Amino acid sequence: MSAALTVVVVACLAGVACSGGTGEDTLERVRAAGVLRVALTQANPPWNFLDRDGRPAGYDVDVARAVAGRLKAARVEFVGSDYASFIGGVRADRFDIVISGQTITARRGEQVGFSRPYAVNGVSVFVRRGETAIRGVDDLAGKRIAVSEGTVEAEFARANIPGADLRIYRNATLGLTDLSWGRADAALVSRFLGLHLAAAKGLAIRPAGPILRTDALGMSFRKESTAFKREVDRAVGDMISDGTLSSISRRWFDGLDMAAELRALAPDLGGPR
Amino acid sequence: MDLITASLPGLLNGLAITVVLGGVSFALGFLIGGLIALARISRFGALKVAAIAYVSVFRGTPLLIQLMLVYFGLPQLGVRVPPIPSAILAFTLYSAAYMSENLRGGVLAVHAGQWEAAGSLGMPYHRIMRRIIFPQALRVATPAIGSRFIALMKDTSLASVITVVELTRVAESVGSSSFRYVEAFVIAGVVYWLVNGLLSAGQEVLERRMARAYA
Repeated sequence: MSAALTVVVVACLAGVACSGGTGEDTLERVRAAGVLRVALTQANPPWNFLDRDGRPAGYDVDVARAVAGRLKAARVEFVGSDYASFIGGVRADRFDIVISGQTITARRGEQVGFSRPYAVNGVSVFVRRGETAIRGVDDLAGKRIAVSEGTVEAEFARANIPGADLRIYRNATLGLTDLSWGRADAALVSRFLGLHLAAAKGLAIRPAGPILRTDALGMSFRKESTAFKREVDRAVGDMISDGTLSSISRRWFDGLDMAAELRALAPDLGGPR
Repeated sequence: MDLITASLPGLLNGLAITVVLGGVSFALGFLIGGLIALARISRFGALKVAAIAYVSVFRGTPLLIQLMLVYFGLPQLGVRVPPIPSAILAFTLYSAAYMSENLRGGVLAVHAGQWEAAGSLGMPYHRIMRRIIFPQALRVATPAIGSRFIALMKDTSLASVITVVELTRVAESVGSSSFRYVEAFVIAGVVYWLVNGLLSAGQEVLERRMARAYA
């Protein structure tokens, strides 16, 4: 077995084309195995995180369990990963689906398939609580800005903030913690996440200025898996209309109704036309 | 190939940081490692115990945990060290533990007759150590210390988790913004390999020069 694996690895390294998967639709794999392998950061509360017992918890986790049930997968297997690895991981078949607050973008859409939006996120500038000089994104030129690699926030900062000194963290929680300690001047991050950490963990941070951008978040999977996409989209649609998504979001986002947010989403972001 | 030209400035900056992290940490680690080796073979019990404990802790725990403790742990005690100094501190303490053992092994490998001969000429301990024992110990320890330097160069990639933009972080950025992970990491891997090839060549030159006295 290990000898065969070595041969495969060496062949891959030598430049032999290795496709990640077997070419079968993810839906077949999930149904045959009875397991849905879900990737998430496990470090972005209240989206997803590890609870006191080290078990995955949060909005994405509850959504993942509900989706798995609707796909008739008996079990969910959560895989800890990060934004820099999600797309590579999907393409290499390390997991079946990413449910981790991933923003749907055209560039990502060239690489992976996306479900219909299952959440709406607002990106905000966060600063230390006593900070007065930074009132919004226009005051960020040349400042130390905390982001995570592979996120839309990192891309936004690289493209729109002149002379930004980007500080790259493995996840947003580490970045916001360091911001509160003063080793970064500002962070670009989900407003829900920043507010949650400020409230739950007592981090001395606050949002500065209006919401920078509203993003539609989707689940991502192998682009070729059309049957899987159809089933996932159906599951999300059912959860929006039968109240499942609203009750999950009320629990994690302080009473927020995510189904209503999704209905209010602009058509160009995947909202209703 | 276009990926190389497009990302070359970033890769070179990352390489510069990698070389600084590796070089500075190695030099400091060598000095501290030497002191710890002396403590380890001294006649003072307390020094000996402290040195043994130091080596045990820093060799026996993952470098990543040491890095995270310096960068994300110290602030809880009110000490905020910037990213690059944090990385140099952690790499120095870690490599000092290994190199102290390499140097100690080198000292123990020197024939006891050398101590006796120097002692019979009335040389004090510190002079015997500096002039007679240490040069011979260094010759014995050079292969192991060279390996340590090369390992440290690769270990510096861990600094990417505490926001240091070194070679691996640049490769990760290039990969996740272009979605061409294989190329990005192969390029970075080749750069590490070239740097370590130079270090290996340097080690060979050094070994040949030190062997001259024995030719």
